[in-house]
Amino acid sequence: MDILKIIERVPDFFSETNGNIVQFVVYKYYRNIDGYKFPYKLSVQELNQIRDKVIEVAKELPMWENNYSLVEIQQVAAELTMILYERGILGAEGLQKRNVTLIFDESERHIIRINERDHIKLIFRGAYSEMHEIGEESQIYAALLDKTLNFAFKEGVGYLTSSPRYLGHALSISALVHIPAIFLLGQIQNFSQILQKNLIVLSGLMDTAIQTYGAFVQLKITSFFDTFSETMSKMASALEEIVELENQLRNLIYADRPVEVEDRIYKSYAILQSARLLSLMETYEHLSNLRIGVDLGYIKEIHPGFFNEVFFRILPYHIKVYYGVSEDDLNKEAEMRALLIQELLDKYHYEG
Amino acid sequence: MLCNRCNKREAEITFKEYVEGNIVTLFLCRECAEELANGVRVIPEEEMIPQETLIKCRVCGTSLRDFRNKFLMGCSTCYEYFLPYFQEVFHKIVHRSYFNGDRLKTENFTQFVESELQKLKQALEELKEREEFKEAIKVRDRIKKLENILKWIS
Repeated sequence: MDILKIIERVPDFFSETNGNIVQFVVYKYYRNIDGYKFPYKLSVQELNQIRDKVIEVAKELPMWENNYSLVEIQQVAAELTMILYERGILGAEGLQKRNVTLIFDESERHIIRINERDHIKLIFRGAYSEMHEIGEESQIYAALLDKTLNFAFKEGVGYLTSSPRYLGHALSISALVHIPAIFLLGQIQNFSQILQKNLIVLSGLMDTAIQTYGAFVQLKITSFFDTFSETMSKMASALEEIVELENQLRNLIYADRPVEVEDRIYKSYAILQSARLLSLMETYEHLSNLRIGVDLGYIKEIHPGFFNEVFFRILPYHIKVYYGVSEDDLNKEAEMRALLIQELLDKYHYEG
Repeated sequence: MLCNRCNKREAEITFKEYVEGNIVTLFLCRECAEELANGVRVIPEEEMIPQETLIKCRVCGTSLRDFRNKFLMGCSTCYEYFLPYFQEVFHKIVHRSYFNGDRLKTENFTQFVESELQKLKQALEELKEREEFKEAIKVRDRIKKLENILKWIS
């Protein structure tokens, strides 16, 4: 597996360039094969049995179009593990656990994680514009797997998972949103109300421990005894409300052109263009300000594709592995991040 | 280790006392500890744990206590034992503790896939007529995918 190729790759589900407020959505189904204990109670031998069973069925699924990678975490280099983790292909549990296996395609849209906290985590990722379509498709694949693997299920409770908060259709839906206008105009309370009403929580970026930076926020809802449609409708209505609120506030910014907002945008642009050291946190903040500058037409010379490419590449292990920076050299990491941003700004510079 | 006070019985309890500005630590048997604590009874650990938390799943051995500590079930059978203990909590959080849905069955999606296919095939023809080949390729790929899914379902 070519690790540098993965680092340089802009995932297919994250390649829309029309300034979306909702950057992408993720569906996750949590499943366990009937008749087996849950992974943390299984011996290595039993975990291997589960792995083989799942791989045998999963590799034939039509979603891969005969093109998938199979990675056994135990057997790959630590640096690849960290890259997969930062891209949300491997979960946090997979970092510490034995016998976790991943199947995923190049587009990084479809992922199956085997033997994390549950036997199977089936993951579908896509753009917001495809939210309903992918939702339907993901349900079909969950049903296809159930047909052949026979998942643990109980009437009145749903699919049985190691953590009871996923009961019901046993899924979670997350969405990465970029809401700079809400942040810039101090409308966090309205935003929180939308989340509370729909039982949505904030989670780390790409399900990692990385907290939300800048105005990039990842939202998550779990099924909690709900069906797919009930969970979906809560998330969809929350996203619609958030998009509406953010758009209203963007229009206000566009009409009033408050000098404080313009100042932030141009300062961030200047810093990204000229800084010699950039930490991850400040980079996300400046990128967030720059992105709203591009979306609102303040800055015309940057192609929006820049934001998609830069999003994963600035993550710590992406930088460390790509530039060969040693584990504890934070200064070098920050230096390389600044250099990368400037290279990518050049690459995506165009004349409006 | 023998009790620091009577030197006869086995020490079971760590007893800390604040004496003239210093903390004095003694390792005592239960009887001596109770005497020193002026009659305050030492409650053995097993008496402090509510009996219900010792209920164990017959398949994987997870106890209600384990479950409460980790909020993780050990196997499907655990739900028979522990479901009532968190249903109430769930009801408070999400106002629901019962699942009204069914298993996801492939048969339920046949109609959706067929109607999607019909729509996409029509869209493909229109795209070809308008010579929008880039979009047409995307639609063609999706048709292929859905046809494959349909094969699997049947």
